[in-house]
Amino acid sequence: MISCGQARDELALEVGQDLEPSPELRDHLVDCPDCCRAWLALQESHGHLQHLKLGSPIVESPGLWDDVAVAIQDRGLRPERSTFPSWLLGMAVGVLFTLFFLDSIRPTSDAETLVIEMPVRGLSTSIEVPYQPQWPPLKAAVPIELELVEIASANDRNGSVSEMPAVRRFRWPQASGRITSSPYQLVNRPIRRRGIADVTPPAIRIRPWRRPIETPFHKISGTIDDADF
Amino acid sequence: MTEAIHTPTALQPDTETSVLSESRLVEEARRGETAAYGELVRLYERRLVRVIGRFIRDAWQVEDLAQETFLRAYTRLGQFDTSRRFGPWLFRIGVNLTLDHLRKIKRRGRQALFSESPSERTPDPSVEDPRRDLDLKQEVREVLESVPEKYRTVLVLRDLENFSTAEIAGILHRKEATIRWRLAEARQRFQLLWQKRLDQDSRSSRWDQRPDTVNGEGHRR
Repeated sequence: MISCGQARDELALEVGQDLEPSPELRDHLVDCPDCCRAWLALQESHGHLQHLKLGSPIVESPGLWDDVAVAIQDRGLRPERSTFPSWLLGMAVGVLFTLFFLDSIRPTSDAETLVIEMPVRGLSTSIEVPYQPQWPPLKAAVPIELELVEIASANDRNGSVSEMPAVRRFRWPQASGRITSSPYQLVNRPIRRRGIADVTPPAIRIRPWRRPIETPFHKISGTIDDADF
Repeated sequence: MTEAIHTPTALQPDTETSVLSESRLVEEARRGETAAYGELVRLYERRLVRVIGRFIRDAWQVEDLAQETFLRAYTRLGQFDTSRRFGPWLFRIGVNLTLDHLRKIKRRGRQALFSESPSERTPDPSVEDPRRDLDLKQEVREVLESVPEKYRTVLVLRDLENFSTAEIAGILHRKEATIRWRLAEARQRFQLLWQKRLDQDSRSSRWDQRPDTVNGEGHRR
């Protein structure tokens, strides 16, 4: 069953033969005197438009070309050349799209990952880790988003291993430009989980998120206590 | 299930001309052969003048706008995609120019009335009074002019100029579904405005027939 609003829309198209009447519309008209009246009114008003159309005089060929040709000459007009051929524009868009697509599907493998593994057991305060010379120099001016993932999980009370690693994201480094000595701040707090006795994750792994660091694989290890990786 | 009917195309040039020959003419015109552009002008001028004439009554103004449309299209030939038909592209320029012109007139508050056009005739008693038909057409045009522009444009192109909804979509640079929706809305709006006009007329004629009116002029209270 269609509503009166839908029926009126369909009728408005049907009156100009832009739509074939649906069985639903016919059923609706049987039951709806208002829409029947609307249909008659539409036919009448559309008929007046047709009258206006048919009664219009036939336009003789106005012979505009002579005037147009003179205006082209007088104004010194000429067709503008397309400043950027459409095929070249299409190709440029295609190349950009391909680059973007390839970048988005590039796997973030360990070979491209800055990995910092460190035990964080018992760590409950913020520490500042200075930039290490063995870390890759950052050429990108854009700060890099890093993802912090637990790579080992604590056992819960039942002894089973939680399979869902905790993920946190932060920005590193904070400043843009070539970073050689800026420290970054790693904030890590014990994770309180329901039903888990020992809540601090045993280790964390830091890897670039979205924008892999160009220099492949750096593994830094050490203890967090002396902040010496 | 409701099905859309494919309306016959109205966007044909005055002679049978394929897309290929149109694109050849455009290419030649781009190279500076103005005679080739003259061919295109001759193919489309009648139709263009008629379409513009649906929006504007002044015949001189219509020709001016048609001429300006051809000049503008000429300077923009570099932007035309020769794999498409020339007509929709040309009419898009023409309709936009016309609507811009109407908006300027509206801003200035100078709306030419049909009755102002130089078409006064002396009555001939041997023929049926043409004013009745003229009055009806005038009323239809006036009601049509009171329909908001975006609906009126679709209504004129479809119901007066017989463009298909696909062609109108090409001219107005909109999706065909949008055009169909606007067309349905436009016809309903026109019908409501027409009905309003009839109601006003019947009220005023009732007023004129009241016995306390003198010479058909009622005392407005």
